[in-house]
Amino acid sequence: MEIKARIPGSIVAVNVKAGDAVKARSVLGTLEAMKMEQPIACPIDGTVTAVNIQAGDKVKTGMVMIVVE
Amino acid sequence: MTDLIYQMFPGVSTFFAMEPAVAAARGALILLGFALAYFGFKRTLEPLIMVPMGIAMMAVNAGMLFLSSGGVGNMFVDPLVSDPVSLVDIMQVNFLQPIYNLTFSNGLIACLVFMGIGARSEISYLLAKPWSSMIIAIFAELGTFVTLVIGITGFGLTPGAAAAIATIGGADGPMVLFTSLMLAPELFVPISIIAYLYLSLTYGGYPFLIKAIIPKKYRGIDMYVEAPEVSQKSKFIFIVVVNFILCLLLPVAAPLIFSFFIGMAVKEVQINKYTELLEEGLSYFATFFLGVLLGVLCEASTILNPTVLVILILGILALAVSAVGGLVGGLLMYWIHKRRGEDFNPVIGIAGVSCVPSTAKLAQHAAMDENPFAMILPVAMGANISGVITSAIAAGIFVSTIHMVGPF
Repeated sequence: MEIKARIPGSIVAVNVKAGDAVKARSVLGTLEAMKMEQPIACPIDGTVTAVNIQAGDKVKTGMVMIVVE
Repeated sequence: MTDLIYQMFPGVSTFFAMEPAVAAARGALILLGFALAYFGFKRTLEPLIMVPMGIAMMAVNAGMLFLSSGGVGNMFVDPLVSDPVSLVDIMQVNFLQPIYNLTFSNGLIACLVFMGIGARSEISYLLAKPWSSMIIAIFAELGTFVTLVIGITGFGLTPGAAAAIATIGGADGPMVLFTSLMLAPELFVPISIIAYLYLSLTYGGYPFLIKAIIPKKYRGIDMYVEAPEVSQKSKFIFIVVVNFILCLLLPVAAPLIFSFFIGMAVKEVQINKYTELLEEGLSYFATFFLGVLLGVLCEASTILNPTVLVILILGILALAVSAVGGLVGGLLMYWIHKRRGEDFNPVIGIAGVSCVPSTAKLAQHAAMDENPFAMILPVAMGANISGVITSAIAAGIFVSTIHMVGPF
């Protein structure tokens, strides 16, 4: 399942790497938009298969940040 | 000997040459100026306006002297000069007079701030949920219209003065400045000062209103919005055409409308140097001098006007009623979306009160307090931008039609 950016902003922190097991509602990272920080939520239980972002990256709406299977 | 000291320190001796009431007001304004600057420093109030305004308020009320004409005055600005010859004279004395006469009296400073707001506004947020955004924004104008009616019928204000004060309900500083200059020039100083003061307080007050009106279980609703793919070209054409239509319909507000849309347009064309100029340069230049000038206009003799109390009451009423209106609009949108099986967070209603982007961020904060993963900011920004547009339309309607309401 692809986790997309829902608002343009920049990545403050990434807490997971490919291969990590994650649970639903765990915090995968932090996105800052308009001077507000928001946790990036994990929607499902599963395993991280891809991480396309690192701290400092700028993201646009709809960009796939992390993939969880 | 005392005479010599009197002459050496006119700032002090003018206190004793004034009427006691004016002297007391002068002292009170110095204290108020310090408080505004200090709370701006502490970020309790919005610092961009409050810090220059507070310091300027202290300086102008401290730095009074005996003028050659015999009265007591200052060397900052004289807002009441209108005769061209004395204006040229006074421009060579008062250092802020050129800025005041060339950017304030004609609303230019408000337009410069508005260009910056336009350059910061992203139209695609509005296009994601255009109807909900527009309806919420109309609900959030409630305070403007309620205050207009109460101002005329309850407080016996002239329609122009009531409309100028009512514009505070639109929650846009530059818009209030613009409308009061047009409709109630004799009151524009107290109206704009009170408007900016209140606007910087909404950040503290609105969260309580949100909690009072929107039930807890709705505040954390998350919204997945598929923003439509809108090409740069269609956004640009949309901006240009809407600007044309609004200018055609509301010529008196056209300067303000044009300023907002030109800001949005240069961003879509990606003339980055212009966007930077409007966003980082001109709008900060304008905001800084706006603060300074509002401060120096807070001079005891100018501000001692019985209408100030009325403006204080009506201003807070306008902002509170607009917020309630917006939130009720948010609840209405919630019910409509629910019947269609979609999610809508009613907290977004507050963002219809068009203080860009503060109220949209307040909505996001309120949602995150209940549900840290909720993301409603894009929709809230859409309501926010609709709010600016409806406020501009309301201001335009006031300025063009208020003379029909009754005698001035």
